[in-house]
Amino acid sequence: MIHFHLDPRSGVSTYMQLVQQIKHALRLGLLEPGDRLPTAGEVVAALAINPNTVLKAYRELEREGLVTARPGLGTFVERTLGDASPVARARLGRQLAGWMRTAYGAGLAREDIEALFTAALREIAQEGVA
Amino acid sequence: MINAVEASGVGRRYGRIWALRGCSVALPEGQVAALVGPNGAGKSTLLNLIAGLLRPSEGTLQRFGRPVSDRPEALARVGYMSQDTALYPTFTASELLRMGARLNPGWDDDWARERLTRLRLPANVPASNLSGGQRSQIALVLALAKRPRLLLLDEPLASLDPLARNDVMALLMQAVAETGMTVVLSSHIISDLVETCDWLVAINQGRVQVSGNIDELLDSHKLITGPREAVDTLPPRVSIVAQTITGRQASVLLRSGEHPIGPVWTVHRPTLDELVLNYLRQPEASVLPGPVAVAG
Amino acid sequence: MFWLTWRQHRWQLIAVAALVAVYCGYLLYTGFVVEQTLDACPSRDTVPRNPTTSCINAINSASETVNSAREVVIFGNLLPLAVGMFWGAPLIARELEQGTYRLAFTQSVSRRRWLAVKLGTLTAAAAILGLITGVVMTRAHSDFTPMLYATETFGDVRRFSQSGIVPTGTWTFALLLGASLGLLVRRSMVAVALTLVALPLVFVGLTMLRPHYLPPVERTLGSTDMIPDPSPVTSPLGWLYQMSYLDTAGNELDSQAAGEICADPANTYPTVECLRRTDLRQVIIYQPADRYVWFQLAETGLLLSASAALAVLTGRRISRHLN
Repeated sequence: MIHFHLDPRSGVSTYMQLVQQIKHALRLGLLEPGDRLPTAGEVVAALAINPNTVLKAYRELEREGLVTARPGLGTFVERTLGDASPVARARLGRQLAGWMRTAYGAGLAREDIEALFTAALREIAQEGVA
Repeated sequence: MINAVEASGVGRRYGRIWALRGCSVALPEGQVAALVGPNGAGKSTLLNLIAGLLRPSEGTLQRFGRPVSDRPEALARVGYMSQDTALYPTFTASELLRMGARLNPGWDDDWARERLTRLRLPANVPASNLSGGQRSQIALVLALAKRPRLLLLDEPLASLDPLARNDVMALLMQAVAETGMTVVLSSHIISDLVETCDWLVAINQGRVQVSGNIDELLDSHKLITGPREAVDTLPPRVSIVAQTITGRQASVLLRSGEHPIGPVWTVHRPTLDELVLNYLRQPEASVLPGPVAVAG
Repeated sequence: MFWLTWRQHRWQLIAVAALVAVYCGYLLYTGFVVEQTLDACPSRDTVPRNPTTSCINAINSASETVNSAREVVIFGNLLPLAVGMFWGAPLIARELEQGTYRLAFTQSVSRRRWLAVKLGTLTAAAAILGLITGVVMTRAHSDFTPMLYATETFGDVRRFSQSGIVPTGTWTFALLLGASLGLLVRRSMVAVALTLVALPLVFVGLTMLRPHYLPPVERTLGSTDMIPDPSPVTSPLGWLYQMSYLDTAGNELDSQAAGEICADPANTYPTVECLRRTDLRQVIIYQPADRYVWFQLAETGLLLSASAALAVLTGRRISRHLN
């Protein structure tokens, strides 16, 4: 079951954070096609937010084709994000962790690592790969 | 879609003093409405009027399209929690639930008892020996267990610590998700209401200043900040709600319009906090109510 | 709603029921004691011509018992006062004062029904308990024979309102008056104080009204059927309002003046012997004893009607106003 974690100060609206976290879970393989998303009631019981916010997030995901709402049954995952297999993803995750350990060992602080990472992401995005 | 609450020119006075006047609000069903305003503004009066505990001195008030009445069917549709959490002091929580079960046909006793356990409320202690926070929570369970269609809560979070506040709001939101009920809750701590409410009613000095969907309200206003001198250069037809000047900076809340404001200003979408504070600062300012438009 | 009424008022009901039990127990016991004591005498109704010592002692002892009972009867008047003050006055006032009306009136029960059940059950309890005291009082009193100079009930200011069915009316009215005052002033303590003042006034007013329920009967008596002078207000004949005398000329004389005509050095007031030898006749204005029942019904009816009126007014007011 997916657990949500909201950051009220991130500047990102709540429903957007929910969308992002579900997508995140899809990418990591925590959610697979056929899984049922928690009901609005289950989400708000943990988060104390308006159920409409949850419904809005689910509608957004449905619009993007990631989930389908089946009346009376719930909202179900339709497809995963990204094409990489779970094995590849696991391997890449381990490689990234290794790189980070090296960076820490070299004396970089967390903010430096974040800055390096974000810069590299941007650079690659401009190259048109991501 | 029917309006859960429709008030038209509602007023209530005590002797010569009007606690509430000219109140026109149209709250659609299924909304969670925040009722905000300073102390003594008339929030409790409005809630008492909607609950049928008071009669309006003028104006009409309807719930779900029907006038407020004392008949059991109408009473069963509305749950109410008072500001001082009125509970019979010698009754234990268990006895209060028993009372609820006897007096309300739609009562869900299993749910109520499960809630008491979940909130860690002692079942066999007389209410007078419980803390204010515990009494609040019991009163809330009492109001919810009858499965109302409209829930009216007068300062439900006032005597609760942050953990309890979160528990109570979560409980409330879950009930809303499951039943689609309409909620009106008053508070003067706006941060409690930001994530949970979709409708805002702001009352000040006995008058309703604002009544509308929160997203629409925030979209239809702008908060601009700039140098104080620039305030005088604002175009005259710009609709200013309120302005604050601190040091050399000015901050102005406007209703969005087509008038260009000038590059010297930084423009934000206001937060709920900022919207409410600015309106409360200017008691004469008001915004037209939502679905029911007043001519003009 | 019945559960709620019981839960909120159980101690009040139990307390008053206990007091009634004690009071009635005392009355019945006193009656029993008198009955037992008078076994020493051959007859219970008349003093024997040559009473034995044990009979004389028995009569004295029984008379003492009856006299102390007479004092305790005051307690019987306090009971409805307690009902008015402690059941009635806080009934509505406390809910308003403590704000619990906000809880009570937002359940799925209309205000009328809330009031009807609460007031109805307590009224029924008051009426029943009152009736019990009335019946017990009548029963116990029947043991207090004329031999002990125990007076009749008809015309006895203190005991009439505590005998028979009248307490049903008294207790009911006390409760309703307290409740109505409570709704009026909205503060328990003030309502209790007002009830404490108002109820005795009402009861005193009733005693003044009582002689007028039915017009009294005038009767002229001669030496054969004259009643003794002085005579207590209550007698087996009925409730005596006034006694006077007529001389041959048709003038009306009071007992003193008539006594002077008798000129009997042994008696100030006329005796049978005097009426035999003079032409004086006795005139009495009284209520015949068989009217006792009608008076009981009239007073009870009056109290119950007033109670009903208060109940209707209270019901109407609680449905409309509150603050």
